[in-house]
Amino acid sequence: MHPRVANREGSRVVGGMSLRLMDNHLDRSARLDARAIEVLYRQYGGMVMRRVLRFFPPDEAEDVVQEVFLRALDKAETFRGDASASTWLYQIATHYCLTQLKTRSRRKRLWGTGSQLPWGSPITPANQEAKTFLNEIWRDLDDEMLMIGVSYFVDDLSHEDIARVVGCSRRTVGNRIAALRQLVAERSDG
Amino acid sequence: MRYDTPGVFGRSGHVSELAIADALAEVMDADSRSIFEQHLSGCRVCARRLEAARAVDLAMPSWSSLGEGSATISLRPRRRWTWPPVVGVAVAMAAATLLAVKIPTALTGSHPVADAASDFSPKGSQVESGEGFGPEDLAFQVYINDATAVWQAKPGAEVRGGDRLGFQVRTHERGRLMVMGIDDAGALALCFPQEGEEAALINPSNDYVTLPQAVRVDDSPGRERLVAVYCPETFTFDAVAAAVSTLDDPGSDEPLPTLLEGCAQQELILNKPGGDL
Repeated sequence: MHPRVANREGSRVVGGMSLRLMDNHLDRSARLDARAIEVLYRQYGGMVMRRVLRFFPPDEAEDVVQEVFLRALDKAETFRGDASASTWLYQIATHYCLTQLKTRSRRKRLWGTGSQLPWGSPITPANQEAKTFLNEIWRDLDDEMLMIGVSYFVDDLSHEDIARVVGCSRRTVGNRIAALRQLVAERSDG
Repeated sequence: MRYDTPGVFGRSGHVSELAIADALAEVMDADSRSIFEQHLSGCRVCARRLEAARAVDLAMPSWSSLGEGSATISLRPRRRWTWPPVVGVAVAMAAATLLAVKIPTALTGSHPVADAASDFSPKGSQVESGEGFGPEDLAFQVYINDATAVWQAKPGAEVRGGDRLGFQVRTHERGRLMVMGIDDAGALALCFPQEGEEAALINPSNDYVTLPQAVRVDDSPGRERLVAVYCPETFTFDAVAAAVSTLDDPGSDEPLPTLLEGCAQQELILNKPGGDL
């Protein structure tokens, strides 16, 4: 057992609520312990790694992946019982990576690294909206707008999936994206 | 209970990353899976994305070794080199210095066998006795991950220290599998299974299945022969080590002779620059 997991597990109880894997989904009525995290990692570690490699170079990726799963352990109470684990982990991973990027002022890697990865979404440098978003806009956004913008421009997610990730209505997502696209258009014209 | 699962497609009309993740984790419902597979059958972009994602899954380190850095993941061999008395200390020392594959902790969680832990069991019930296996009963593939890309290894492929090797096998008969690295001096490193003394139980499959453990290559130059041995009945690492110790030239360019009678055997040789080759 990984000692860091053991420490986390031993140091906190998620309000009596915890999680476990059940039928390949998480059930909030059960317990998310180190074993459950390991199973979750086995199923979705690759997805989180691909997500992390969007933002970080390979030599940092493993550490970041570990942090993402430890945060998942910490955020067990944020998991909705009817949601898929992939959506939940995507949100945690993306939020963590973006926060780290802001902290480290390594924003340019957001585009430069991700665009070269073979397992990334099929975005290309020709995708001018995404480029403008990444180069000029994202740093000024609040967390929710940033999550929506990255999910839309970078990760190519549908409105429905973005709503699942962010935890808001599809209509809200649509409004936010319209606002973001307006910003992109203004910056492109300027 | 109906789960609120992600959609299959992104806004571009290609399958989404979330869908790929759920497909690899085998949690996609039947309808979504059908749509997903139908799209992939006609979309080379997404088929490549799925394959690349699967390769990343394949190369993921175990949870227990995650984040400890290369120095700690690249462990010294944590188990036994069983040398017959005639070989002696000199060869054992050579093994320590020439060992080409260090044994890390388990690499788990690889698709397409994300939930196939039951397929791989170092110990368990005996496999039914048959007439023995031939080479056609085992297909064996090696993947190399150099932290920037993952690709299937061809014979003679170059690897470098720190690269991670993953394995896939396909079998049509239930049997016991062991994967080893053998360097030119005949030193063995056990790659799979990394726990216990016996070969792991493998269930038959029409597709390649990813072994839930991998190894990290160390820095010592030379050549490494990766050998998969597949038998109808269980066998031990010591039995294979004893067979290897009888070889006149374990560093030969020729394929190894059958190490265990009645067993299928496949191999692949990798090179590390700076060696004799």
